[in-house]
Amino acid sequence: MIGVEIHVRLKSEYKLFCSDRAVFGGEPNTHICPVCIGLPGALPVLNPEVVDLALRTALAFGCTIHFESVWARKSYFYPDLPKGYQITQFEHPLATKGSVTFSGSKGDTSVKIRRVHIEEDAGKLLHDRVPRASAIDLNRAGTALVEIVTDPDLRTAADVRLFLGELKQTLEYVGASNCNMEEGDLRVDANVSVRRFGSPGLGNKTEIKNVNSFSGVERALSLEIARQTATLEAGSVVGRQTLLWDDHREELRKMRSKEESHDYRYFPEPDLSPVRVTQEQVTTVLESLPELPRVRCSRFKKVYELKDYDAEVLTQSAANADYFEELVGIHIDPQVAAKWVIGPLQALMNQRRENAQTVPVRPAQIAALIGLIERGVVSESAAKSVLVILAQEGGSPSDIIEARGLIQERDIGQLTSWVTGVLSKHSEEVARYRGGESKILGYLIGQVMHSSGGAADPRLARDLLIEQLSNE
Amino acid sequence: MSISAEDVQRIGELARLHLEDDELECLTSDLNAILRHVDSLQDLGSTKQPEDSSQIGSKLTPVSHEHVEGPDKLHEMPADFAPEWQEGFFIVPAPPGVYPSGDQ
Amino acid sequence: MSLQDEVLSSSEVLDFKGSALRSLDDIKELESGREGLNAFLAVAEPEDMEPCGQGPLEGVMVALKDNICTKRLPTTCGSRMLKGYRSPYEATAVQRLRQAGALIAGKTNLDEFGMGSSTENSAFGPTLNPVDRSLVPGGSSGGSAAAVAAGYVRMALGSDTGGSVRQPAAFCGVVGIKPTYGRISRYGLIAFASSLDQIGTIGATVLEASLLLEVVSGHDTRDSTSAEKPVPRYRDAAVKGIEGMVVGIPTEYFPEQLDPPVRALLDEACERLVAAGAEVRPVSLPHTEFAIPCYYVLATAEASSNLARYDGVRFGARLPAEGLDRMYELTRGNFGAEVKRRIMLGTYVLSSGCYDAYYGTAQRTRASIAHDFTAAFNEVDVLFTPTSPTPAFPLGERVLDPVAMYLSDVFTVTANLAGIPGLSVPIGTVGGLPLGGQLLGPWWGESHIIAAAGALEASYREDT
Repeated sequence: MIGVEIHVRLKSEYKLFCSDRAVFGGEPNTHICPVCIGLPGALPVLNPEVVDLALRTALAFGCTIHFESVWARKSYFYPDLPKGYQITQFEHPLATKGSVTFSGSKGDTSVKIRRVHIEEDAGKLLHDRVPRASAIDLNRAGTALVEIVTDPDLRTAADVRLFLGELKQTLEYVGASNCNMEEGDLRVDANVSVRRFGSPGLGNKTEIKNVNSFSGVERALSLEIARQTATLEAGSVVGRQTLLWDDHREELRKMRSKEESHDYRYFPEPDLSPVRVTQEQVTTVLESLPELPRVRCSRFKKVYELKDYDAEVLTQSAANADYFEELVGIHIDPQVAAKWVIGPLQALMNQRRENAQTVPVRPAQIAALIGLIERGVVSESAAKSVLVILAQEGGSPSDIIEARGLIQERDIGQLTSWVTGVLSKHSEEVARYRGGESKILGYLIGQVMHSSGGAADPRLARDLLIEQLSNE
Repeated sequence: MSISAEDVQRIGELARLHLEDDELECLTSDLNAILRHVDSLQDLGSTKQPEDSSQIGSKLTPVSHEHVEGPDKLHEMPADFAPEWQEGFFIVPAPPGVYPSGDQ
Repeated sequence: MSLQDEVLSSSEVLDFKGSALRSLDDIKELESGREGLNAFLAVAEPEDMEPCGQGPLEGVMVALKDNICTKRLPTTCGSRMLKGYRSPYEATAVQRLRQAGALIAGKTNLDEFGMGSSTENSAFGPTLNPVDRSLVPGGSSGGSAAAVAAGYVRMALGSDTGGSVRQPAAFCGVVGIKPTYGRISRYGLIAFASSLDQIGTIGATVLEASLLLEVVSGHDTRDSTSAEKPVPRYRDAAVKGIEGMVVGIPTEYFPEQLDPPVRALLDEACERLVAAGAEVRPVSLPHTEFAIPCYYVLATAEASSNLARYDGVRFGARLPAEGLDRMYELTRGNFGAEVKRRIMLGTYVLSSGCYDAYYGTAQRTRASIAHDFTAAFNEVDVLFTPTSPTPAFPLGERVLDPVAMYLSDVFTVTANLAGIPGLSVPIGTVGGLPLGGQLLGPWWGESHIIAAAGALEASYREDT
């Protein structure tokens, strides 16, 4: 039985309780102020944008929103925790009782969300900057997080990974977080307890902390499940403990008992009034939520008759799905649109490290390009290079094609002379073709393209070659 | 309720206060004296609950966020008040049980 | 004339501009000599005084309790933990003072982190009471009260968590006001107990304390507990008169144990209120007896949390050590005995297993105490009580007996628990020592208590 706690960094512009920008990277200790570094006399002030983003998260998971939720202080000493306490929500969180459905190893699986609450992040402690000491960067201190806690509804390590994928996708879809794993936007703790099939009691559970990747979660859980199983099979009892995952060494190590025994001494935060949310706010957010990934994916399969694979890839990110639908909206056939978005556009975005929102080539331009291909003005392969040029320089596809002389040559006379020229220089290949090796045609088409400097219409060239080859 | 010297020792650890033996003794007796006094609260039993027993403090809705640039922003200043500062970082002795490389 | 009489009869009351009785040099000289009271921990240099505007306090020197952040002068909170600490930002209240043209004369002594009722818990030595130097000036704002009583300044800011402005004002024979919770921004006030703390004003007269209150009050977006209520002209309330005002006398604040001379002065003050046009009525605040234990659970709980940031990591003192926990412990050894005691108590009452019995119960008690006042203020406009059971006590008498020390707050903690405004005004002397009478008002009822205090003050002044 596995439950997970996920800490997600919300993509608010400013930190949770002060007016510093919440940025990743940057010189250490340059996005700090008296409030987030806990200087004497400083006080927290709630950033309302965060509540909005947290609501989006909670409502995306179908949670019940509590119109009044209370801030609490969670006390412990650690150098990356400036005030000696974290401001979080304890007894009265923002939201409870939601669920997530995902495609698990045994089909559609549902996981209950126990609670969603808001809290502030700690700073960063680095151990490799200064010899025999630790260095603290407080840029991250005070950044807004939501903590999402599930019931122990998950059953296998693989399922956990799939679940996390669904969660991440949903968070991106509703715009709550960038979910950038390298930047540590998503951190996972897992609780796992193995019990004998059919045994009534709940075993002790182990907590696994400090995992920064989904594959890490899966590996750590697999290891721990195996360990617990072996323990039980040997007739022993599994003890409660907390384990830290070391990604480098791919192993779990026990946390020292002193680290583990925290008495957090929660009490309501006196410097802040409770978070108050109105029904109107909730309704507004609900209405503004986009179609969620699973729903969108099935709609794509049904309405656009896309293959499962294509629908899934397209709905991976809301931006791609939007791009695709915009293309279809300009009367591009869905299959063609899918091919272009998944293929050449994605390759372009990968190369330029952009996404479907930031890539400078817009659907209208691709639609125009596709039109030109269908009218035979440009070949498909030439069109792909036009795409790159569009991204670099902008403009319209037809202008670029003309300016660069990429208009396909369709003049039969010109084509015939290229074809004749190629055939005369490649008698060996011609013989092989006539001998039954029909695949060599591709080579010959390539030669015609080469002679024509890429301008030949490959389809016409192919037709002409076949004609000439069968004539003699 | 009364507390033992062991309790006091444990609380001292929670609060990161080091207590010498004589301090421990003094504190234990002081705290017990105070707690005896505080126990009178239990006599209150069940009081009639007033309508709004939530936090004191003005009932404010979240205030519109004023992004205050200016004198409160810290840029070069931490070096002025940090007890130990190197290359842009606050420096502390390493916490116990930390690996030599990588973050916690 | 005694010092107190001198202060009460001062004809400079209405003339604020250039009203500094002493120059900075005089203050430094007096403080460093045999006559020194140790009221100031730091005295400004002329260039530190830096007003940045013009307004009702133009040219007026004001002293600040040393738990209020200033940028040029250090802010030590009377603690080795913050010795020499210079805050990189200043408190909103200080900003408002300077915008009103005030000159910051210096930072005054206090019980460490505001914890204490005598200013004997300062790491930098006690402050002496200017009326009688063998006595405490009260606490924790003892330095500010002494500075005003000694005539170094006519106005000072203090802070009040359980009576720390009103009680020293009473002990030194000056006026002290703790406003409604949320009246003055706490941004830059170094926190002791967040839901109880308020900056308070101390003045040589009701008018001065009220004017100072008016200048520093008002909403601040940097303090989520500050109220968006407009600030009335409190200075006008001082001379408004109290015709028809109903004054409640809560029986629980006049126990048998009050000394006869103290009781006599309190009775006389009541008579003077009636003579000024008020009506006096008995009322009851039944949960008063639980106020001290309630206060000490809640205040120490919040304090234990607010003081967790003093760990030697980012600012303040650090005692180097091998290993992090050792560094924490050694550094936090800089706290004095009273602070340690309160951190320990606060940590205990919040700890697992204790929370419901102590903190939970205290929260409920607090609500009951607040409700007592709400009910009373349905019948009366203000309440009149003693500020403290006795006048100033000798140095050293109570500092080793924490419970005895805590009990001296018995009449003042309720106002902090309920969030209501309270004011202490001199009502005569007992054996030559000043005694204070306390006025309590409903939320946002500062004008009423100022009016009542002003009437009393005028009544005493007419005698002379």
